[in-house]
Amino acid sequence: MIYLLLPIGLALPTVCGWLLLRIVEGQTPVLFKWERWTAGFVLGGILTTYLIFLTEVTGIGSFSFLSMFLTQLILLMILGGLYWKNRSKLTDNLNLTTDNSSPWKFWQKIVAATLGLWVIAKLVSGFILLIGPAYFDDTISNWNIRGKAFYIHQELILEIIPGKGSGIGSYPQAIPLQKAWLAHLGGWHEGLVNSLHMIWYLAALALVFFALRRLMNLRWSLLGVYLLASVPLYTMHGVSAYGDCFLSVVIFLAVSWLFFAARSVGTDRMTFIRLGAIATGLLIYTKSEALLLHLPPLAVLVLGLLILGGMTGMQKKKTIAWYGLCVSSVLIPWVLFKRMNDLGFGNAKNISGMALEWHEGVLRAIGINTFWEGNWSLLPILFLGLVIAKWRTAFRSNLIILTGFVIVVIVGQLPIYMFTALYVEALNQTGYARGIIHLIPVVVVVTTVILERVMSDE
Amino acid sequence: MILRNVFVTVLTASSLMVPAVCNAENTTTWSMMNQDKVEGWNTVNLTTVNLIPQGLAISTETTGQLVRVSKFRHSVDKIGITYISPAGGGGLFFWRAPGMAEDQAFQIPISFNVSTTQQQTVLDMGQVPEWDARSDRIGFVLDAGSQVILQEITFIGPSFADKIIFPLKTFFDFDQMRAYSINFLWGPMMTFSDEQRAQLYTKTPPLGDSWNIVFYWVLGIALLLVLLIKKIIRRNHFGMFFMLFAALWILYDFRMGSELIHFARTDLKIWWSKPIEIKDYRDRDSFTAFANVAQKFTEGKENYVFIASHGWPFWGSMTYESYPALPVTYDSNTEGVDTWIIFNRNDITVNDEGRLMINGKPTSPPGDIMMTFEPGSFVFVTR
Repeated sequence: MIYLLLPIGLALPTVCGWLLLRIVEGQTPVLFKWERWTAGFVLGGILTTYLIFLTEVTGIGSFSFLSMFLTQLILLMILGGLYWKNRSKLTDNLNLTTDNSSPWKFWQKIVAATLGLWVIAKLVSGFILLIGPAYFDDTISNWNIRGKAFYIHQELILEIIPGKGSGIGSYPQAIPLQKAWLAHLGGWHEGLVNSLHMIWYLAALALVFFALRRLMNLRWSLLGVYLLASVPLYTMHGVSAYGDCFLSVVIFLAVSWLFFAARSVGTDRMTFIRLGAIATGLLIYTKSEALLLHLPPLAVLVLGLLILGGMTGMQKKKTIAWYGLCVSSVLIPWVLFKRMNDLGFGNAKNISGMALEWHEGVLRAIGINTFWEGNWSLLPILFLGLVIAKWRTAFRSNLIILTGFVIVVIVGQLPIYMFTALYVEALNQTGYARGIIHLIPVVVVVTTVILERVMSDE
Repeated sequence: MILRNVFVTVLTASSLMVPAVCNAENTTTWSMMNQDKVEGWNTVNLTTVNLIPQGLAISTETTGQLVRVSKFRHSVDKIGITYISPAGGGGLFFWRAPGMAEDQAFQIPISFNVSTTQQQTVLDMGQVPEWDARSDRIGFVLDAGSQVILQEITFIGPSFADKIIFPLKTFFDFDQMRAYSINFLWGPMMTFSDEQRAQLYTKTPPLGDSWNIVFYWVLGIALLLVLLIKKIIRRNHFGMFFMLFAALWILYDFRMGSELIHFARTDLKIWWSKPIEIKDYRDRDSFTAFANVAQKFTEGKENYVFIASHGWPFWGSMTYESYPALPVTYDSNTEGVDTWIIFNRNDITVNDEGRLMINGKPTSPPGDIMMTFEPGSFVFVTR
């Protein structure tokens, strides 16, 4: 019964997110109906918690039930008012494209149904794993204990354990605050506060489906979803109370919407630009590494689009304005807050002040993690093989937005592990794979797109 | 599970069709008995080394080394050393694995039992992750005072059939959910004997090889064939290659998905379906159930003393379970702290005065045990 509180708790942030996206789309909707709800749930959760955080640090509100509820309600009223005001222009929905390809063969139906049931069986198992007592280290020492602290003390606490420093206090509060909000509805219940993670995982599957559906037929889109659902470590993160799967969804929105902007024209392009700018801004408040690892490559890609994307002068100005506004409205308060509270930048360890020296064995450990363990199934060789075989498609089409992002982030991480004290994270395989988790939805989309091209060519 | 059983049954049945001759183990023997000369051995710092009919007699007053070039044409998981050692001895068995520098080697300790009759020591190299049968140097470092007649060294590897059957059987052997499972999953592993298989996940990394190599070989050969066919007879079979890829992908997914389901079934079996007194959770045994019960005694309190058999992961987990009450160590300032939570410390008892005895010393103020969860795990509250 406690799980009935989950949809109740998610309703406000999801509707806020939906309204934001719909208003931003304006008269040129580019999202499918359920895609908007899914993305609305993901981004609405960050938007509402970011505003709750702002009200707390400015002294306007707190993390009490009433304050969190009122903040969301006021946001809902503002966005609802804007929607109501413009309702006559905002009624259109983008319909899912009809499948013009040949009808499904009998064996295809059997395979699809079997794999679908298999994925459901894994999801049920994952749910059982997720709702058990807290087990993994970061669940205990970060994501859940911070949520518990916010829920119990109803205020922002940076030093959870007195005398132990504010290390984890430097992380954005989006995930713990969403847990605290659910706990306000039903008490601190591991199953309730952790089930969010599985919804984020399902959101990743759904958003990959909708992104692919924009590019290819139903069968190929479902194949892409199956690829994502069968990446073992990604599934493990989908059913564990960690923040990396959540971050991967937000990264996917920010990068894929920029990609769709690059391959669209006219007003559609500008709608995707606005959506991408919002996702990029909210990305900052998702998890620490987004600021250092994901925002800079995104900025470079936006710059590349401005220069090479064939935009008009007005489009360029609007793009700069939207990205500037969305990113700065999260970046500036967040960085100021960090500076004022002397919070570090980095993830597991503060990266400032680290000595640079070569650490042996890092590349070998990364190679083992990538190719010799069961983490990624056969995805690394499929992705690499396809990118190499079809390098023109991967690098000389709009797909470079996705491919380039993946490669820049992976290559960008390598020196951090090879030359800084974070090498331990690679050698012990405690941190490296998480950096890859963030990219998996993007990798899967690139893989599916190129695979479809290859099969069409053949 | 049905599919898995069918898979294993088919594999086992097919293994019965393998000719019996294939069951012969691969063996390489270096005999030193009744030899006119033994080649390839080098000695360093050994006092006397003589070839006698019984074998290579070594006696040394200083620590010395006996080393030989090695080149096996088969894998090796057991090494049998036959010897006579009237005065006993010991030292190290070492090998230089591929890629190691000239002056580096892996080593394991070895001892020679005192006996005037023939003895045999078997080194189970399947349990040594660093062992590599492709090593190009193998030898001994003998301690000063050692006396030994080396008679024979036998290198035994799995038979051809074992090389096929055991990896297939092990493909569906699952790890448990552990703290590292959030960072990496070992994936399908290969073993080559019953012993190795039984020990597979008892060490980190596991005592086996990755199945990925087989997937890569199969895909590599298939791709090569497709490219050759395309070049020679100009027929395109890339579709078949991708069908093969899809089949392997699904097989891999079936393996890894089954492991996830296995994790969940274990949780259901040892946690969800059991009463709290006998619940176990993953590799934490009874701790999670204990913490669940014990944290109720911390409600409304600022601190409590927590003592457990290990720091990690119990301290962090207890902190989380009891939050906002925080644990302190027994040797910190415990004034005003009335609740003591003890986990898995059979050595901690209550003396006649009602004080907790830790390391033989009365440590707490007098109090009473309020809840005993299991021997060594209880909640103690001071009076």
